[in-house]
Amino acid sequence: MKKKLLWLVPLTIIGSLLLVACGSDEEETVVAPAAPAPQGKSEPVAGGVATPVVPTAAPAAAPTAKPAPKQDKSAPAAAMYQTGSSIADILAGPAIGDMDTEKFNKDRFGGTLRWVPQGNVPNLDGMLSGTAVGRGVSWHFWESLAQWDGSGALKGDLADVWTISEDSEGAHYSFTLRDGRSWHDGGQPTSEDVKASFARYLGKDGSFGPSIKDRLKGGSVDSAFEIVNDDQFVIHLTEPTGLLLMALGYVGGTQPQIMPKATVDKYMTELAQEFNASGPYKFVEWNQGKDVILDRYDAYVPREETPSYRAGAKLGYFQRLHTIEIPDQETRVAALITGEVDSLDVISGDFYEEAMKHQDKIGIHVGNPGAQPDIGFNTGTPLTGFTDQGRLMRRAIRAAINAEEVMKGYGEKSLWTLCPSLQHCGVAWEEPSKNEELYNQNNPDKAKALLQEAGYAGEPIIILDPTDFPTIHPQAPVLLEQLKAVGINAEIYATDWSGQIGMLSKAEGWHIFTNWNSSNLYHPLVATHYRTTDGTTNTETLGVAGYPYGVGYDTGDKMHQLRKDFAKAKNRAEELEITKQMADLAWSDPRRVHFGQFFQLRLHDKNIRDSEVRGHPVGSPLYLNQWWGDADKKK
Amino acid sequence: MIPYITRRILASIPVLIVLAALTFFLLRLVPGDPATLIAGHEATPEEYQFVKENLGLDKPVHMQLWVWVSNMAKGDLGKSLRSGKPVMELIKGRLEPTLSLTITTQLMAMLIALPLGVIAAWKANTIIDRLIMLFCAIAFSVPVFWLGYIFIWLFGLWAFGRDEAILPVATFTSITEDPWEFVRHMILPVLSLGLLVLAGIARMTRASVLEVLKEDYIRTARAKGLGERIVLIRHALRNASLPIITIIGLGLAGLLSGAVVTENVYAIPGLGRMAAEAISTRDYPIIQGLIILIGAAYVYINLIIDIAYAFLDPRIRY
Repeated sequence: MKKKLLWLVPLTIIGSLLLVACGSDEEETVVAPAAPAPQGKSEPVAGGVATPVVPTAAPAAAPTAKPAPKQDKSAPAAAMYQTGSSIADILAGPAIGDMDTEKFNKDRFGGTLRWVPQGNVPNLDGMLSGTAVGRGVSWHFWESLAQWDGSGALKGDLADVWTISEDSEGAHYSFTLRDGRSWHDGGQPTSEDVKASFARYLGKDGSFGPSIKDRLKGGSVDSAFEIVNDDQFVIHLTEPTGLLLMALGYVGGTQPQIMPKATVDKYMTELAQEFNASGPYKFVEWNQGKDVILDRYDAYVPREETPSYRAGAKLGYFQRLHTIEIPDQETRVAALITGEVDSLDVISGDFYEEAMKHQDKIGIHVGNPGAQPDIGFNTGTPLTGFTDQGRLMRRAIRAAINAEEVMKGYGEKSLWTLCPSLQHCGVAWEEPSKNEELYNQNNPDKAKALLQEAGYAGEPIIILDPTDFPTIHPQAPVLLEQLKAVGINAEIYATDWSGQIGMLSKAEGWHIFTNWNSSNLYHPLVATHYRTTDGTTNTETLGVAGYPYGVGYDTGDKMHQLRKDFAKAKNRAEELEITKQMADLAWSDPRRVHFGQFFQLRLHDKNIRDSEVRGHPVGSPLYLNQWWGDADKKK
Repeated sequence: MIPYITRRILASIPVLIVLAALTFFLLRLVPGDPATLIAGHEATPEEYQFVKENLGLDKPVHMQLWVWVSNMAKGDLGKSLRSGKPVMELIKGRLEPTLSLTITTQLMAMLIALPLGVIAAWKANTIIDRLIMLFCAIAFSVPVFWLGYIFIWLFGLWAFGRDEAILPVATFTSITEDPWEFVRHMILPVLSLGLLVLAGIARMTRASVLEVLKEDYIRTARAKGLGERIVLIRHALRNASLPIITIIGLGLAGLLSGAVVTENVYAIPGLGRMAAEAISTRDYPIIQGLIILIGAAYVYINLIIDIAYAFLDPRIRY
């Protein structure tokens, strides 16, 4: 008996330990949501650039600030935007502190900012590999000729001014580089460097590159790029297009960064391993898989203009930017709470509640408009392809979808919204690309009728589910039930992200892939819904990025022609009209179906000041113009 | 002995070649194309083709194998598909955190497990033995990631009610950079990972020592008046050491490749994390390089174990 009782001792100890481990929440104080941050003082002031002669394609993210439909406004908006703002707010006129009165406030200098990216840093060459994480690190040291500002206009970055003229031979884009520019090794960026970088960019970029190359005078960069002197150059095109300037300030995808000619020559087609750049921070060290260290470039001469989004004065107040990779999200949040790091880039909405509990230490930023979760169809198989049956099946699946139920998988309601627009709600292209009737139909009767019309006989419909992708995985289980409810014999094929990518190159074995994207935010010509394959490879079976069947891009001549028309549009009204035609085409024969928008959650130490001066460019952070409010942190 | 070692080293070469070839082909059977991952899933055909050609993935598989093997023969494991950096350089950069974690864990586990195992065997079937074995059973069963999070909460977030964390919860500091911070950063990962290793060694030690304690020479040693400490350590433990050495050696090799979870939870930039990242991004050269390295580690650690047998047991001769 005594021996048996002794067994209780260790069991009691273990039980007590478990109770201690599980009972922590009660001891933590839940702080009430703080009041919203003050609104921006003023509209950003344009300056330093000549107004283009030809009205150009403005960046996609001009403000419209329309309320998203069907969103539950009971969400704790005060907390949600306590340090953040919607993209419309950011672009319309961000808080600018007192940056409009002086370049540098010397009291703000100092300290190290340790931030954690949302994934591992794959490389630091945004021109050859436009991944969001690599871009987020490297655009602290690379510069472009131009950048978008908060009003959606293009402003100078490394370029000071530009003018556009037209004559019988075409359009001529004359640029002057700004004074005070320098490479981190002490040299000066010249027109030669720009020419080399421009050639490298056009050789890689597939979004704007082909259209620009088509218009280069003489058909090559050599013949179209005229160097006037070290400070001035002219790009000659056969006809005007807004795409050139659009490309030079592009935020997503591949970056039109300016590199020294020597670097370009050495790494024309390979990822650059040398980072002699011209931005406010200089590259120090990259330990792949561990960290990246950038130090303030003391000789950097910032522009005069008010900082706004990615344009204007870029002030590096932190002495050091230390990017630290932490793969596990739980650990990232713990490290922020314990003060081992200072800022987290995009983090799962699951941590919103935890962050709310630590509002005394942590600032919360919810990045609107975020990204659109969506599905794409396998157009290489008859059941969902370019057949009469396939078209009806795709419409039936769309009719069966209850988008709200899918979006609930993205966390509490303040972290997502419904949106009937193919190109995000809250951006310039929202209106022409929306369709209230066909979005979020949740109409089982209609779905069943379409299935019957399609002659659907209960064949399996396989949904790919990359379970390692926390922002995609919520879709498949909900979608499965919704499809089953209308009589579709749906199945889930669980894989990882890389496995899904591999499946997309096969015509068999799947019908629906799950995904999200943010490119719809930027511009109709990069929006996934309107993409077509290039004219030379424009066949019914060859898709984009080596996915012959998968990504639901339109391959029809009509969409291709509309895209060409867009590139020639003379003004915003024309652009919007063509966008509407493209959207109508995409809605009429869906290759993709989107569910709504989820917002990107970012967390940071509350001592960081002016973190909203620029907002966070979509997909990547930007730690310029920010500074430590706490004097101890500046050491 | 030397001819034996030479023979074993030579015999390891075909093993590694077969391992390399298997790895190469198996990787290409796994769904997923690194070029599409690098180009981005919204890339255009031109971008995709550009990346594919740059990576050499447009060439036939047998050509890719030939390029890899011929480069490997020259000591070049190729370049990472994602960063463009040499694989050898990347592996070297990740070696220190993994070796630090592996060696510290193994040392901690041995220092605790050997006495525990010997005591458990000595006090077999008593309450002490049962408590030790219960502890080992729990330590062996608790998932490493769960333990990791519990420790992070205990020593970092809750910190036993203190305002500041007791121990850092993430990243790694090199011993050459700051020895004190190295120790502080190592405590939680070593505890999380070490309990599992400790439990394995302690159980094996108990079983082996228990077996030896039944031998006639132990009875003889006790009969001639030797103290228990000498009987246990000099006679029992030494004669029980062959299976213990084996499990320690294999554990070391396993830790080199298998600390993926611990390295992920505590953000230690080691080889395990590198392997996990490379697999998820289908970075073939890194995966191939790591498998060759880990394969070689297994082969040569086994060789060292075999050599150690000869030193521990004079009856074994090669």
